[in-house]
Amino acid sequence: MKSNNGMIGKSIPRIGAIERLLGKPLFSADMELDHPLVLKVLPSDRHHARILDIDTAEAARVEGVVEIFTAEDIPRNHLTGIINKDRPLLAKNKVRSKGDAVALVAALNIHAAETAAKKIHVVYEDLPSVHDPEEALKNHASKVHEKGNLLFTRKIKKGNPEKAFEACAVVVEKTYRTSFLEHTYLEPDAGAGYLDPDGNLVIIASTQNPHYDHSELVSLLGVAPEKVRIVQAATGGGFGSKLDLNVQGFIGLALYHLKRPVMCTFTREETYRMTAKRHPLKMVFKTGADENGHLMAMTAKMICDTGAYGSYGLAVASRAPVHATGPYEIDHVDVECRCVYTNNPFAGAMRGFGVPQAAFAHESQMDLLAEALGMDPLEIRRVNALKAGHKTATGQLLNGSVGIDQCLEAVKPHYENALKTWLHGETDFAKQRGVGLGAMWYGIGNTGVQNPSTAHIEMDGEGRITLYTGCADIGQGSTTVLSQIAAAVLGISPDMLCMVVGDTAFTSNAGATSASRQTYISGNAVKNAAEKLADVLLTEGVDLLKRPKTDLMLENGFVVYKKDPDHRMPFSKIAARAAKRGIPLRWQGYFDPETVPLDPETGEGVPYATYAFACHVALVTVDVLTGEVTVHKIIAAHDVGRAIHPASVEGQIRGGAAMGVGFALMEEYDPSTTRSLKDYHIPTAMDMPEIIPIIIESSEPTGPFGAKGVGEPALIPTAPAVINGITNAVSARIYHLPANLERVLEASIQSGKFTMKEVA
Amino acid sequence: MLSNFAYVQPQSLKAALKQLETPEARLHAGGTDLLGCLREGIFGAKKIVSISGLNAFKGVRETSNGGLRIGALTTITQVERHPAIRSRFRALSQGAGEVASPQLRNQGTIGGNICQKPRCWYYRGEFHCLRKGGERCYAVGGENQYHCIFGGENCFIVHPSDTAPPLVALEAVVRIVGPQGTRSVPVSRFHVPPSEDFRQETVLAPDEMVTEIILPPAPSGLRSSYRKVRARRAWDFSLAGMALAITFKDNTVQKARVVFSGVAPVPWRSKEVEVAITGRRLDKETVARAADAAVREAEPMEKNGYKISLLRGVVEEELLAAQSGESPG
Repeated sequence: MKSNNGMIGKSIPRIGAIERLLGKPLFSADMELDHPLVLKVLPSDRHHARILDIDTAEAARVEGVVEIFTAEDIPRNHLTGIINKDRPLLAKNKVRSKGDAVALVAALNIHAAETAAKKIHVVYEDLPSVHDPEEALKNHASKVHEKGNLLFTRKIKKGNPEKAFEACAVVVEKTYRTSFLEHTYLEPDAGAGYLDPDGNLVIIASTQNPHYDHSELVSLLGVAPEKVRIVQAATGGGFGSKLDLNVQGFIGLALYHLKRPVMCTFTREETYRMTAKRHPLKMVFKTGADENGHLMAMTAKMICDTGAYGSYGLAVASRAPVHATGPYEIDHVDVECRCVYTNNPFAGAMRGFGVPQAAFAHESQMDLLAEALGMDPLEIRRVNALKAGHKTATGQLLNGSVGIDQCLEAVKPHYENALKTWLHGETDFAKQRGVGLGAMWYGIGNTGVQNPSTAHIEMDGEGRITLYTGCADIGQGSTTVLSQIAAAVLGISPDMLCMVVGDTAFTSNAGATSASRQTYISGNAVKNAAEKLADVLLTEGVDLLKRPKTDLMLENGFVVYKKDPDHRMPFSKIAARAAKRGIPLRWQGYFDPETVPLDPETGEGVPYATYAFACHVALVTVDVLTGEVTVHKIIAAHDVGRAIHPASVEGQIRGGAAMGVGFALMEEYDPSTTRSLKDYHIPTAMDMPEIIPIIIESSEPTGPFGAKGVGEPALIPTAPAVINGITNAVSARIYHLPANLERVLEASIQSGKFTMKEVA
Repeated sequence: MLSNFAYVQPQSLKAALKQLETPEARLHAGGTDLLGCLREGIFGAKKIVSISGLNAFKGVRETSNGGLRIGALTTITQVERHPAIRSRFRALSQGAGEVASPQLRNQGTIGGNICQKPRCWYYRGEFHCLRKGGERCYAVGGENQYHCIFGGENCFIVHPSDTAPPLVALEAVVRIVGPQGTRSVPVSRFHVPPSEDFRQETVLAPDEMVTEIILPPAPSGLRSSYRKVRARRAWDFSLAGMALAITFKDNTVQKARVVFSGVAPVPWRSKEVEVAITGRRLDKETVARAADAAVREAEPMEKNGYKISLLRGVVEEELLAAQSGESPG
């Protein structure tokens, strides 16, 4: 019944791109409100302390100050958090990290707000603080939260690895570490709020999940859901950090009490201090293989530091162990991941939810095994790659789209060519070349829990169609992709659709823009809604065209008789007739991927309905006398199921590789010294390699037109590929990310490469 | 955030000097460092004296003896791209090309570049450190991976400039104007080590300004270069670097000036390396000896020991490249 109009797989102009180029979209900080108050947060300057007193008297006397809020002013529930509610909007009784919000100033101007914030006197009684997750688990450790420092443990058990290791020809056991990272999205967190004429609270914010924000505001303020409206403003990136309630709660609190327009715009320093970080992981991996390189068994002990609050810590601590095998079949597995509170800055979602960390470990292990067995790194991956019919470590039978083999196949010519020619090309005397591989798999959607999306589609009496989705487009292009999916089902051009996006007054919950889930899950919800409308149009067409439904199709805004395209009826006529007859033309679409919750003891279950796969090849040069690494080229093959909008898929791959280079070589947030961009290195254009994206389309039967996702997978294989490339170049491996200049130089020295004589 | 200040834009040197007599007046050339310092509260300013209108101090001129006069307001980009600097004083062109990012090079000036404030994390942060009038240097026993391995005393900053080391290597002279008139100071004596005064980075008095930098003629047989190692390829300061100005005769080093960046509180002339290579061909043995000599006097702190290996590596690479007349860049 559907002709997809050629809209799927076509890189149509990105919705909103022209407007952005013209500077038209309003970011939160650009909102022009009527004399808005500005909000300033006073963060804690203690790691862990009891709050004995907050004296706001002097601050309140600063000219221009309107109000100062503390935890006492929160009308209902002061705790926030998407998975577990443990983070107070404003600290109550104690602070658990530097950066906890203690008080909120509302003032006429920023100068008054900043001056006042400095004059709030907080009397603290310091408590012992703990900054290492292993220390935090010891009996004597200071308790970050009353219930104890162990937030969550995820176990995955399959077979008997200890016994299987005995039969292995080779076993490799290594410890890997990663660092805190800061997302460093272009747009610092911001939001604005006002009361509409009905007295409802309207909050416009930079966010990845407007409907979650809505539920938190309702919970914090204790107001009826219809009294709060969240509108997603133009959003300049998020990478996971804008899943938390960063400014929205402060705006809501001030709006609730003061009933006048307010704005809250974080400085870069505030985003660094008060928003989530990537979880640092310590991972002890033991992997064994037989003499042919078949993986026999693996165990892993992982510990992740979620800092002072959970945020998405449980998701990270679930995803990392579930993905610890890598995209390989292993019969005997025992993985445990513990998520631990410390007094460090809180860690939350960041592109990949722990899988980038796990991939660093499993891909290093693969190269170590290959080396021990004298195998080629690509070959050992091919031997073990998951295929349809295989079972994962959680016991999930894979039967849909499993494109890792095709990814490995796609990079093979590039990889072999690099080994044969590029690796031996002429270089300066101090330069050593290396080629590295990194593979990955990534479950689409949340782990073993319901995570539905809804969408609405509506045709008015004149045949115009509007799509309503709560799916936040934060720059990845979901609005365009969703419009293509709806348009393909309805046989129209996407620009004939009116899109209403991310506004809780009009849209329904599409869940978070996270977990690479929007194309697959919201895409399916949109498709479902569109199909319901399409069915009505076709059914009505039967009456009007006097032809059987099976012989009708939708094309260019008409119901068309397939055998004679001139015999057709415009949507407008059908809509008018349906309206007259009271037939509904507004439909809800729904999709929730089929998952089975993971068993708490064994991890058995179906965590995701489908997985994305990828493999990157990195060509690197190391200056063995200075430790400088140049990444020349990354070949990136990604199985995305189906690329609805190939240019956006390529854009994700390029952006992911950029972030991956940063994760591999330079990004490290040190809670004690990192204040802003001047202390935190992200790659510049000068650091970027040539990137060759290769799109693999192993169609997913349950995906919209076969699509899966690519947002996070894009980043995951890069760092392992770069690290394996560095190892290839200097014959020494780095186990602690980032592989910064100091660590690479040390590796060069340890391997004996750091001498002129050997390299000259 | 920035506190309020008056902003003036004098149109003559005399007027500019007059304005500088105001207490807490600060000179504004490119402003790339000044605005950061003001915003971060490193120092305050009651008056900003913009000298962007002083066109006499923009651009590069040949001197009669074959040297160059570079106006202090010449942008870093202009210095990098000037044909005479590129061909005859390559180290300076390379140093300028390594500064920050293209945008900052278009905005920043050569005069400002040699007058930069240190990038020490404590100095730039909320710490009332010794250099800012406080009691102690927090880098001692603190986060000192980016600090100096030479010349530290009281304060352990590194000098952030990429143009100053080449200028020292090329024996450049700074022209300074103040109420007392004009004076000339070799760039090698322009910066003040903390052992002499830990409050001051240069010999400039508050009411003085740099107007010109004078490069003496390049001797025949000169090969000069600047190499900078940093954590990423742009917009970052030197972890270790080296400016070389070597005069060769028949492939033998006749005269050498070797100046390090990123490892000392001032552009650090390495007499040790100069002695180790003078009168010799830069063969592997000589270069290895020079690299040993380069770091012999180094005094690492707890977390910057890697700079010793790094500096060795830079010295080896650059000296071997200098012998072949190429830069490995």
